[in-house]
Amino acid sequence: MTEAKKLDKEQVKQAVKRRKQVTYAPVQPEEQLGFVHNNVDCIGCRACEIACKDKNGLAAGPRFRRVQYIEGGTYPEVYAYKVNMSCNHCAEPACLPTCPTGAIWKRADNGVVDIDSTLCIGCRRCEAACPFGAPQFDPSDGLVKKCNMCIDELEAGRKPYCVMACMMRVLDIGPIDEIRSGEYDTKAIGPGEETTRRVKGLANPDLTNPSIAFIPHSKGKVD
Amino acid sequence: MKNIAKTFALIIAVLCTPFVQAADTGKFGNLDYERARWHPIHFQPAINEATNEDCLTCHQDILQRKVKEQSPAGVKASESLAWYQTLGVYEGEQETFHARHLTTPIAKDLMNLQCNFCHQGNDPREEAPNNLDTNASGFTLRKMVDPEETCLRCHGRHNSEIMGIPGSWPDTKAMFGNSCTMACHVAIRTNRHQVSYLNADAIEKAAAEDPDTCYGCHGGRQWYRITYPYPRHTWPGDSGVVPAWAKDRPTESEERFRLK
Amino acid sequence: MSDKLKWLADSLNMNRRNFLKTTAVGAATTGLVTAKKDAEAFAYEPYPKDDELETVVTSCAHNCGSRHALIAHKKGDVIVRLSTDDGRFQKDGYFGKDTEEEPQLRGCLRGRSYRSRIYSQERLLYPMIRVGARGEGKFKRASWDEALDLVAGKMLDIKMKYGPTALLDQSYAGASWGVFHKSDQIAGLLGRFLGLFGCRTNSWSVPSYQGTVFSSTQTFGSIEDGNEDDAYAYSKLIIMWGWNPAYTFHGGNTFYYMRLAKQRGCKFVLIDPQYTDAASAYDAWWIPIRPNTDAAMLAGMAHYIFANNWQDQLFINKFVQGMDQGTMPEWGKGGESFKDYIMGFSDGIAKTPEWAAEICGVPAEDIKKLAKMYALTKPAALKASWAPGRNAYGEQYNRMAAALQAMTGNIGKLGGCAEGIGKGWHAEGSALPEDPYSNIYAQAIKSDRWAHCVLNFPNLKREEIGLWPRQDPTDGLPPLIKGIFWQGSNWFNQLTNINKEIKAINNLELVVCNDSTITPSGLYADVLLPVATHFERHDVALPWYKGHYYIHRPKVIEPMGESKTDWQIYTELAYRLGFGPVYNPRAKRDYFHYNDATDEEYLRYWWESKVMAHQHVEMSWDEFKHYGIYKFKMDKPHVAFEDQIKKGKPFKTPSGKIEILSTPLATTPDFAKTQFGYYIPPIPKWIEPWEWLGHQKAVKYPFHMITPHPRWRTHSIFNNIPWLRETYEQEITINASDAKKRGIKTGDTIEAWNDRGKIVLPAYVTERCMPGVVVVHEGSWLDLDENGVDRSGNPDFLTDDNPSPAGAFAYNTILVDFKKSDLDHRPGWDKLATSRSHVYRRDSDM
Repeated sequence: MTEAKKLDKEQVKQAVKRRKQVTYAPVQPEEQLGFVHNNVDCIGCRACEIACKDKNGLAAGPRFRRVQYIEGGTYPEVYAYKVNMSCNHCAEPACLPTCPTGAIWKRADNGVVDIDSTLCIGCRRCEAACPFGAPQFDPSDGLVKKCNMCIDELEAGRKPYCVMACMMRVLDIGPIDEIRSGEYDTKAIGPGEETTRRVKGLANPDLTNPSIAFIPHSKGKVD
Repeated sequence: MKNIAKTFALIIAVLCTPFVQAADTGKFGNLDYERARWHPIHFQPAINEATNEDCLTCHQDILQRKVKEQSPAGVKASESLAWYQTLGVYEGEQETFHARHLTTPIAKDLMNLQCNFCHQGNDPREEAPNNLDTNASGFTLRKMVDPEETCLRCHGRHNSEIMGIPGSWPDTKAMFGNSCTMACHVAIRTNRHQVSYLNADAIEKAAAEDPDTCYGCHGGRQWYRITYPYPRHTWPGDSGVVPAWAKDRPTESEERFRLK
Repeated sequence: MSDKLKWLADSLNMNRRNFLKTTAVGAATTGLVTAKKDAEAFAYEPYPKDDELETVVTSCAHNCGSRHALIAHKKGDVIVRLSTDDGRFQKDGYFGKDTEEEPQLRGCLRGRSYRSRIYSQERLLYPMIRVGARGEGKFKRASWDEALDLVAGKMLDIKMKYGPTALLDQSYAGASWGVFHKSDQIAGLLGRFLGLFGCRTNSWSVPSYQGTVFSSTQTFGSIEDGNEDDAYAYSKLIIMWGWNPAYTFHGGNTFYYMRLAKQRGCKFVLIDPQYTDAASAYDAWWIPIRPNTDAAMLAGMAHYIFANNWQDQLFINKFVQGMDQGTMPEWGKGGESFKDYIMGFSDGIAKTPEWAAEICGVPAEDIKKLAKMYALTKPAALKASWAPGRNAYGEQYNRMAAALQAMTGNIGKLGGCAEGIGKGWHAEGSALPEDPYSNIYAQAIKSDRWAHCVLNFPNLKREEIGLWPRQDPTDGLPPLIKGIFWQGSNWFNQLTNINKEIKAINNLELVVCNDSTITPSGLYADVLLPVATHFERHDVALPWYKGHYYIHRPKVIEPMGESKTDWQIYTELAYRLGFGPVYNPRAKRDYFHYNDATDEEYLRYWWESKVMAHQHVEMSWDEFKHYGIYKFKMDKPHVAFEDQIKKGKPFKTPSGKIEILSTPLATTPDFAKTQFGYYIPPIPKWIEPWEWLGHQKAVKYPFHMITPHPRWRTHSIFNNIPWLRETYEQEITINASDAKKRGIKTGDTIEAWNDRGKIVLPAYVTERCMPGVVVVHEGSWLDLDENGVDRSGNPDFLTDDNPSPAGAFAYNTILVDFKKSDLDHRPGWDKLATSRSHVYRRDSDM
């Protein structure tokens, strides 16, 4: 118990320090990791979602990751595709500056927008500010929680649970610049496929510069 | 036993559906959760007519829930201040997001926000348009509110470049006597804030007292990296010359926000 | 609550009971902060990372078409989280290894949700004895002794009073798919138990694919007509006929190999009333088709292929019986060949694409276009899935598809397809005792006709209940059934025409349910016996019909509550009934309490005497246990019937050929003496179903309902899992124009009904479903209101238990009507939990 208390204090001190540091200028990480999702080849199975729930011990309610089912057209000329997002670990996150307690910060090594929910007082500003629905309020304990790209797995040299859950191998992480330039070796991107920053329905990426790339469906492309 | 079972079901419903508590649904009749979430009030066009009272019939939770006095690790709410909360015009205790926008004194004074200012609809199925072509709701993916059309109006970047000032406002404000309304905005773009979701007179008054009031929104609470393209109303003394950056801007506020 | 459970509940962040206590006094909005921090999300300390936890390799084990690895990360005796194969848990494995030859076996959403199933509120932890009415859900906790004595006593009583058919075996594969703990009708533990006891009626016919079993057996003499899933990567054209590999996995990586095929230029076609997620992922040409008319469309394609002479005549001449007059057997010369039927030589009706278009609603031009694509693209895979076979005369569709596969010469070739059933690689599938006691029965009936049998005994004809022929004087005598045993089975919820079952079950004197979960079936049982899940017992996982690997399935945690394995339960009962040593020859009398060593003995023997001896495996049992997964590496993809086509090995049919003209069917003198009861044509034909959109019944019931397998459940398994419930709704899919006509929009509550029952569920209105068709996924847990209306939306209240002659369940042969409703739909696991709270109350403080 005393051990735990000591840790709390240390934790709080660090949070205060972070809060002072992080104002206008977003952290420029050594390398920005980001997600890539193939909207077309995804079968929408949501194994990634459940893996995420299990990894993060979430009850029904908060869903860090969500596969959105998009459909359109008129019978019989119809189409469908999926857009799969959790936290986009934005280069310039909107959640971060809203936080009054320093619970959210951006990691300098890999650009992960991390959160320590034990520093959260449940004001839910970050939840509102995020254009992508990443921070999620957990009504069971009144705290906001979100994806941290399975930072423990990253530190262990592995990839996050959602990526490793993907049965179709259409979800991956990597240095976002390399993903965008096509240099990154990943099964998520098929031969001849090119990524895009934005798909239909996605909030304007200029708001926060999200670290995510999509292989868009032809109907989901934004001009 | 029966009571327990009932409570149990209710509790679980609350747990699963954070925003809806069992409630006397008043004018909406006796709706179960399944039906309530598909009530027309959650969709266009009925949502445009929804009053805050209507919304709060079921969603009291958003105002009732308070911030924690301290976080699980011991961060005290009373001792927490984000950098923007050090702005002179920030006042009051830590409050939840909804309270800050609806019920705090500053919110009541300067703003006139209605639930449906932000919430233009709801899709219980996927939080995204069900059919892109026939059912387009305009929701962004994973959100039922498009921040570009709501939050950005106040929480954008201070657009110092187009104002022709030499740097960001914090860097240059001394040059202008730390005053927006004296230096420039006494003569240009004086036709402002004339929309239903703001109290224009109160804003002018507060701005006259403390220029941080202006900056508070126009850059001081900057969540996003872009600026909102405000409509360009004419003002007394307007030369009528439209600069390049303003070519595509409307000259009037959107219909739904115009003062009648 | 024990400390263990409490810790667990906290760590799962799911302690609803505490929540209840807190909120009951009016603190609902304050939220809970529990003192314990273990394993919570983002707890600052301690947050056990994977590498700080103990890693145990195991697999999923439910009855779906696949089998994937699950990696349990546990602390003490509690599973903290699950991950899946990441390439490390095999010989020469490393993180990220994922090659085309040895792909990772990544679990799906259901597999990934197991933790919340093991620790669910619906988990059955103690023996229970019914105290209320059947279905009411009132039980009292009993000791094992009490429960077992009750069961054993009643068994003796019933056998004495009613004879050797009185106990109906309704075990099914819900908890099976290991080599050791089996729950199927043929090799299952219950069958062995009741058979040795000398009182057993067997249930034949597989709900998912009996029409297809029939077809594959008649045509190829084998259900092993499947290629391994990697073979799909070599196809140039894949026709998904009623097949949605995005929902129902058939093989561990089929969907992924199909993605590779797409990247290599393969084209895809979907024949289905719905535009499925598979259609979108593979960018398929969607051909919507009226349900139950698939055989007609296939006939139209066959006609066009014959008319253009695009058939592979060399292949036909060499390998096929009865395709045309040239390939008729000596004994059948001059009789009707498949071509005679298709071209109309025999009945005067040419089965032209135009003829087919009238029936199936697909434009003749599309039928021609597809026929040409299929005939001229080599190699092409026509994957004739099971769903269109789950119909009245569904076997005709499957046989017709086999005829097309044969006439285009796509059998036995890489990139082609002869499926059908689709069983590929042959596993050493059984570690059970090698003796003749596995499937002894006094009678066998068609499984979905049990209620009909019970309600109409003794005035029953063979064809009414699909009575299996016997070579003794009891042949043709309908069984007197007075009891049902369920093992790995929720059949009461899953068979057709549930209302008829509800009537029948009250005629029974004993209903015993072995399960790890309180299921709707369990609520109708007299005795509930808690079964350890596969995380709590020792086994080895088999791939399902495709996949070439074994996954070790150790006991990850101790059995929860007082649960025992099925082996333990039946062995103990067998001892009490006097045949314990025969039932479980390796066990000692105390097996009920000490089973680990015996189970290990069975499994080691299986590995050494079968896997190592027959399959060229050199890895020892202990080494296998160390790695967890054994993946067979094949130099090329396994293709069904390759030896027959390349090496001239005969097919296992009477003629040694692919029998489009079936020898057994053509030579059956009297179908009334067979289990089928009714005439079945020896060549595949379009036979009009008893309900479809072209039927006069469609005037009263203008919509055809289909009931596919869902993605978020496996049949009814996982219906109670909150994580999965979040990802879907039990709903009725309605075409947008149909909905518009009736003023219905997504989210409206709908009642759908026919003469057999009524269900209530919300509408999903979409352009992705063809007009005139509605879709309701099978498997939701029945939940009746006071008028017998099902509030869960279980479509089997509307299905018909009428048997298709060859045994196909007619799950997709349903006409219904529907309208907007004021009745209540109760979708929630919360509500289910409420109804079940009588049952699974674990402690007294609730």
